Amino acid sequence: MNKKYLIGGLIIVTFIVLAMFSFQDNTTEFVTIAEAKSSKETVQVYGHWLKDKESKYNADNNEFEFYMEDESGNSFKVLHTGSKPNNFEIASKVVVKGHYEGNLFKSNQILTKCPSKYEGTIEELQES
Amino acid sequence: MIGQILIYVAFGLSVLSGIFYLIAKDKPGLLKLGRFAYYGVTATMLAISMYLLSNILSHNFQMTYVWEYSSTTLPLNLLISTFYAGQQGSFLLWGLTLTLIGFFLIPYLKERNYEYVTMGIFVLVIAFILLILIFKSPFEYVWETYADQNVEVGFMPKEGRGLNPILQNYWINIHPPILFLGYSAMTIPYIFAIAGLLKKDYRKWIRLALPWTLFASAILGLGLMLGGLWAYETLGWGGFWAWDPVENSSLIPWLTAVTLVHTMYIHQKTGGLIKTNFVLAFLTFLFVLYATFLTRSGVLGDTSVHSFVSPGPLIYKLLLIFMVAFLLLAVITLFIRLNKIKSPEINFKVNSKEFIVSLGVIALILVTFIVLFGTSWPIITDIIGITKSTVEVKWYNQLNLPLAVLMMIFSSLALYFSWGRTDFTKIIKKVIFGVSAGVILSIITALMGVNQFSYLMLVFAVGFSLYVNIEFIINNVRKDKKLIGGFVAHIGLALLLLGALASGAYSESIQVSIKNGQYAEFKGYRVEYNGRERVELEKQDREKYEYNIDIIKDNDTTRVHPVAFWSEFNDMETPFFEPGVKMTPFKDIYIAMALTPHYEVKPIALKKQLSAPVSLDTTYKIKMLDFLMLDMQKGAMEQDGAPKEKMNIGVLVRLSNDKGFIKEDTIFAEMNMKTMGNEPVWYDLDTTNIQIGFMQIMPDKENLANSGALFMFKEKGGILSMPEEMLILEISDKPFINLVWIGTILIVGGFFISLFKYMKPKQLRKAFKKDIEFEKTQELDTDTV
Repeated sequence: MNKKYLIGGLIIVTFIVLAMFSFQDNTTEFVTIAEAKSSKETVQVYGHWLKDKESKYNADNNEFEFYMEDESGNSFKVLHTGSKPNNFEIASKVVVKGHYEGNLFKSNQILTKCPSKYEGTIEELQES
Repeated sequence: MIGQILIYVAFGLSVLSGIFYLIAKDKPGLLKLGRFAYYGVTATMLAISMYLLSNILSHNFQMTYVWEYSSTTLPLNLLISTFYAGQQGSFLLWGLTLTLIGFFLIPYLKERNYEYVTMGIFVLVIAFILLILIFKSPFEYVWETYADQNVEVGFMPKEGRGLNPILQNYWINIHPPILFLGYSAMTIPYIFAIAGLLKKDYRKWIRLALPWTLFASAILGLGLMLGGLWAYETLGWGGFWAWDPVENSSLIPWLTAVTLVHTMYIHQKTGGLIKTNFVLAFLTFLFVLYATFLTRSGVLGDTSVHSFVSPGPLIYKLLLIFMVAFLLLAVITLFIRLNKIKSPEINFKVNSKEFIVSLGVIALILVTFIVLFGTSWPIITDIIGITKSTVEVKWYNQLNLPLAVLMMIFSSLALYFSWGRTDFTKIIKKVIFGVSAGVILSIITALMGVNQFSYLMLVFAVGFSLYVNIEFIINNVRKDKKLIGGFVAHIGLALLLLGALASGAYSESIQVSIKNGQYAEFKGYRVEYNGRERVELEKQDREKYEYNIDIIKDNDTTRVHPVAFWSEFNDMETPFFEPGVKMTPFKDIYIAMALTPHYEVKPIALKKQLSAPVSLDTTYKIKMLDFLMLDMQKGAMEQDGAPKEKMNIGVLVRLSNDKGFIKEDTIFAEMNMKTMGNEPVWYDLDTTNIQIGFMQIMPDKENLANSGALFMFKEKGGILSMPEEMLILEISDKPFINLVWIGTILIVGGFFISLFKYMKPKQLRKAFKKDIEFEKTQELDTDTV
């Protein structure tokens, strides 16, 4: 009877402790670029691509460079390892994951959001 | 109008049917009325669906939903799929599959005298979905949707917006309907559990719900697997599972249902775990509602690669109410009856089979909890008010790996144990072969270069599990084929995990950029780019190319065709891609592509007051000052009234170098008024051999004054090098990815085999013999409440 609960309880407790300890290192916070600058950790910044400013893909070292503006309106340069993501042009929102180093944000993952294409807008209706 | 009325009728009938079913205790007349009303719901639901489908097929773009998701250019199969491409239609599909399941559930319940209450709760779920459809109807007209925008009543858009090209694939005809059927079937354990509590039957419901729980697990499992295959083969995610919130949210109810199957099984053999079964049956359905809430309410908007529509606060609230209402119903009924639930005195001994299976169940519950917690984390941070964050993929992998090891070991070990009590010494002798199989497999894997302890543990558990389950299949297949469902599913799990480990942790990849005719080297393969071919020429709305990529090793050449296509859906702006996969028995070569234009001489785009170095000689700088549109200002007509054929457009620039040269001048281009194409008038830069061409205006749609000019450069007398397309390939290998597919097929197959075991009432009664005996002894001691 006691042994039974001991074994079951041991498994549960071990894993909950394990999950809690590994949790901190395995979460990535959403921050503004100002907070990203003062942090050394990997973070995610939410914002949109500044299409006016220069953007280029460098095929030799597989890096994509562009400018972004975060939600508080501050712009910054992003150096992304990898090619320009699909749908980048039509994305209304961009999330970059990485860390701030030197004077730019070094990203290794970009999420793009294209919600506007999924539901119609009055402009599209008038065009048709 | 018709559609809207039909939805109201279906809603009214479902409420009526629910009421009749819930008050029909000992009143067969009312029960019949409830059933009659249910058939009414079924007929109306079919009519609603047919009505939507006929509007889609006849391209009635007056309806906002039809206009938003379909177009006249779609082939029939994709046109049908637009039925559920949007939110409203997918709610309708959910309602439809639920209604049809109910149609088959009624005779099952009637035969077993369990229709009263059970169907009442079931119909309530349908009523809730119809309520959502009342507020978010697929039959809304465009002038109703844009009521404040003066859209003329009766306005018919000429063309629909079309289906997202990412979804234009045969998978959309297969994956979502199966997923929704699975979701719907997950309702059944819940309604049986509520009915059991309300009828004061705490045991019989378990055996009645077992076959349906197996069915639900099989179908949702199949749906999940097809989703993974779709993501891998067509969407180019590079893997079959990404721990994305959308995937996770449908995995959670599946894991719960699988856990429930195991606790029902323990109950069948021992008569115990009654309360556990109640709770798990509730959670299975509540997690389906939670999944719907997560994916349909917009709460996870920022954290997933899937795009969500923000459906507005109304749907958010409705879904929240839906979830909370069924949660409260479960909690309250369970609370009222909790003291009445009589378990026979069951004491699991440490050396019993039920105890070992329970340990496996604990591991399964922990996996469910980890996925649930990780997926909900962004919402939790919102609620407790800390900085929003998301959980990394490696957290899921790190924690689930040891749990997977435990699951496989317990599920295999349990086979050697007997119900009730087991002699340990006998087991040790039997286990030794399985353990050796595990050790041998991990030694082989270690020799192949795997050196991480946790991976070797997983391989050991896989080897152990494979040996034990195969042994039991061989011993049982002659006795009764239907007994082997569990063994088959457990072999499937072992293969799936082995495939996931190999293809995930031991996939290597490189990224290369190559031009037509060039090649890249990858792990002894030569990957060549040999041109592209335009396909689907008959379709006007797209430009679709298949790229010829030859994968060569020794003398063997396989050609794969990654796809890039430009669609009018996003005004041809950026292409959509599909990967090319070379499949072999032991590994896949996976090629995901992207494109970039490649220029020998870099063009420069400049807005007013911006400057850049000249591409062929960077000691010179070019600054864009303004546009000069003298011809334009004079009007589009010649003096004799004929339309102008050509007009000059100019751009004022300042050219300078660091040696003191500075000059302001205008560079022209000729615009052909018929073709609207530009021809640059080449401009000589200072004393150099370089010529500057003004290629075109780069308009800024929002602010024309902010438009830019595009310049290109060439050498005097030389030809302008046109941009070449450069292919960016991500080449990776996926060792043993086939084990993932084989494994999932076996898991799903295992559920179906077990399902057949319980298909006949006689077999079901035989399986739950203990339970029925117990019920008989309890009959004298019935409740008085």
